[in-house]
Amino acid sequence: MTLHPSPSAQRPHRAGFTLPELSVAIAASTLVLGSLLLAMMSLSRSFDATEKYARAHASQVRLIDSIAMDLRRATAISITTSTTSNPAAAGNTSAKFSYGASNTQTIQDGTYDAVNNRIGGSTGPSTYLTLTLPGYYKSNDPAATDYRNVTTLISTGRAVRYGTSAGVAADSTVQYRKAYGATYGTECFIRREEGVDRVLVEKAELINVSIIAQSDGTFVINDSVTPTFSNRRSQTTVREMSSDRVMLRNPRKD
Amino acid sequence: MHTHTARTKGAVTLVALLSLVIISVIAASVLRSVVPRYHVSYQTAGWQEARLAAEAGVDLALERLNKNVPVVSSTTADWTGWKQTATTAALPALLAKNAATAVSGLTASGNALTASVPIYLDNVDVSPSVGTPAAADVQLTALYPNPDATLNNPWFRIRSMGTAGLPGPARSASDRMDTSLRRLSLRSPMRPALAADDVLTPTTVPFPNASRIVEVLARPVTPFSKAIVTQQDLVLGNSSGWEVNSYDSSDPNKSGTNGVYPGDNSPKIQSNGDIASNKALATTTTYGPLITANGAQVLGSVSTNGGDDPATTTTYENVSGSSGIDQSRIDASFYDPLLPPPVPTPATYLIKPNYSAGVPFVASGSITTENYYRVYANEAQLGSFTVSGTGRITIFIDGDWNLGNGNGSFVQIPPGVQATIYVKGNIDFGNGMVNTNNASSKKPGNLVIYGVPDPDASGNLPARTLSSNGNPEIAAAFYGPSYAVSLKGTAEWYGSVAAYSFAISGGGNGGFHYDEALGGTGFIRKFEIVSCFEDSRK
Repeated sequence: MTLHPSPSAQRPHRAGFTLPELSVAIAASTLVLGSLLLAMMSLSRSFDATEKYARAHASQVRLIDSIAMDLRRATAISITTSTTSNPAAAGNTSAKFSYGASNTQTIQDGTYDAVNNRIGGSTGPSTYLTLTLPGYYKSNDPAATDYRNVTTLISTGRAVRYGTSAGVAADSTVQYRKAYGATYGTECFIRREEGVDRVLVEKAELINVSIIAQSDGTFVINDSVTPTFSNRRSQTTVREMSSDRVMLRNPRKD
Repeated sequence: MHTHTARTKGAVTLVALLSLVIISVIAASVLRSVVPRYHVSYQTAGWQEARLAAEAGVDLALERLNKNVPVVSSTTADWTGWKQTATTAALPALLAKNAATAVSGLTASGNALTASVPIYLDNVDVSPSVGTPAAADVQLTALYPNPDATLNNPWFRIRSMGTAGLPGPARSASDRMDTSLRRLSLRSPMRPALAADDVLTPTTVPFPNASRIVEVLARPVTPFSKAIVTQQDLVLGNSSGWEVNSYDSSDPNKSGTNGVYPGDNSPKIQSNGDIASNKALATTTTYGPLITANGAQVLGSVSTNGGDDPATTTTYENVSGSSGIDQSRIDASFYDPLLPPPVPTPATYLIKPNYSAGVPFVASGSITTENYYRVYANEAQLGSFTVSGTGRITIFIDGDWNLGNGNGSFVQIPPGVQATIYVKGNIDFGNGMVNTNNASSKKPGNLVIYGVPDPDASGNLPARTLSSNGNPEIAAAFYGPSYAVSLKGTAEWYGSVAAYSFAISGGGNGGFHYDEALGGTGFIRKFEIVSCFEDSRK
């Protein structure tokens, strides 16, 4: 009688997975991959939040830098209020920015609803900052070839000023305001010089700018920006404040 | 058994690779998000540093100007480090001393204005001890507006370009709005539009870099920029009719006939009769009066060196009796100490006249030349006197100067004469007419009086006085840092006073009337910035 080994004994031993092993492995993999997916989603949100935060901060700094540069060379500051966000609209009233007492003015767009953090719905007037820059260039017409050229110097009585035989160079006006930018589809901070708009910050719904005149009687301006960042998924809010202190450099008394 | 082990190792490798991929993806995402922001932050900081570098260049120029004014130093001017372009003729007048005569050059198409060729401070290193490289290129140009052809006090135009290096690679900002504002030089040493400001040797700051330009106008500050300035006490007349105001003898719309004071009730009266005191309290945390206004009317600003409590915004502790002063024109931020005036040292003097016999001093006959006289201390004391002719005259009085009282007490400076008097002793104007009798110009700019230091044998500076009694009428500008000015009665003073102290007892219907035309008269004390502009369009 010939004995044959059983089939199992004839097959080489293989380390296969049993059903329980597979079940455990699948469950473990699911857990790991699920955790990984959740982690990636969380990371993604974090990246998104960080990106928005960084962009908001960069926008703040850019806005402050631009306003500060103009404030340093300004000879007059006024606050204009309007029923619309159009500086050229009829009925606008402008008041000299006063010193000697703490005076805070916020640049805001009348169509921005600060309560609901969205555009539209506000009934308040828009407020924008108007700075008068002393005459310095040959032309304030952006299309003119002399737009970037410094004018000559002349003697006016006992003082030296920029100008020509035709007279002292004309002042230029710069306005900072908040308005809806159709191109961007968001609220924007806009710098207008001699009628030409330049967008400084888009997605400006969450950014507020206030200009503060100090009460010590000196020509000091506090420029602060307070954007608020909201991560709606996690329902958290991050508030970032930047500020700069600027002294007017052109209090000519001569 | 061996086969089983090999399969297990393969799974570990797979898991490790997968983990590496995941970590790499995360790291790449982080870097992709962070690196551009990192660059933007550095570019922003560099842009700010460029402005600081430009302003440092302005400060360097202003420091050199103020170091070289005659009142600070009588030695040869020091312009170490400053250069001229090789193609430009030498500029000894500017380099020698600021109060030099005008030099020819550019003439603006406006009112009379002469400008020197510029001198340069090229690539001066203004880098912080730790940080990116930064340099300033400064151009300094003297301007001679010549409101009065005899003055030649220059203004200066200072144009400074600061350049700061940017760390990291030359990458533009991720946001085009940043690029539009900061206008960095990423691929070349400098923006082409700035080449004219990068004088002499091209910038030593490697690119990428940021450049900004600041331009200021600096004006000369003379001793008579305010109505009254004191080192210590300042006491005004104690009657409500006593007034400090201003007029401008060079402007017919702000003065009377022939440039005289238009009268107390004239609509031509101006409100630039500024007064100020350098006096300070013992500590900065105590508050109290530093100017005694006594209810007098002041049409001008009133400034002290502290004394006002910032916690009380509607009251001004630094000025007592301020009911006659516009409260919005009171401040406590003044500090501008009076330095001894420079005194010319001519080699010879003309033989002085017998002034006691009424023989006049004689002016030079020309506005560009000078006649020098000297009254020595051991000679007969100078009293009333007359100057004749036209042109310039300088009289040195080593002793006291006493006009006395009565009709014969006067100093007569006719129109067309520029008289400067240096006094070492006490001055008593009595109730005299100082440059105000009928034959005089009645313009304070025509009679400038300096009280000069006269140290005793021990080197101490004895106190000196300038006094009057009665109803003198004075048209003069007086500068005496060691002189106590004491006026009694109904004194009328047209001009300016800068002294150790100033007090008027009584006052009546008199007053002090600052002539704004004195703003450019006298030696240069210092230079100050009156206009500052960042050229952002280039």
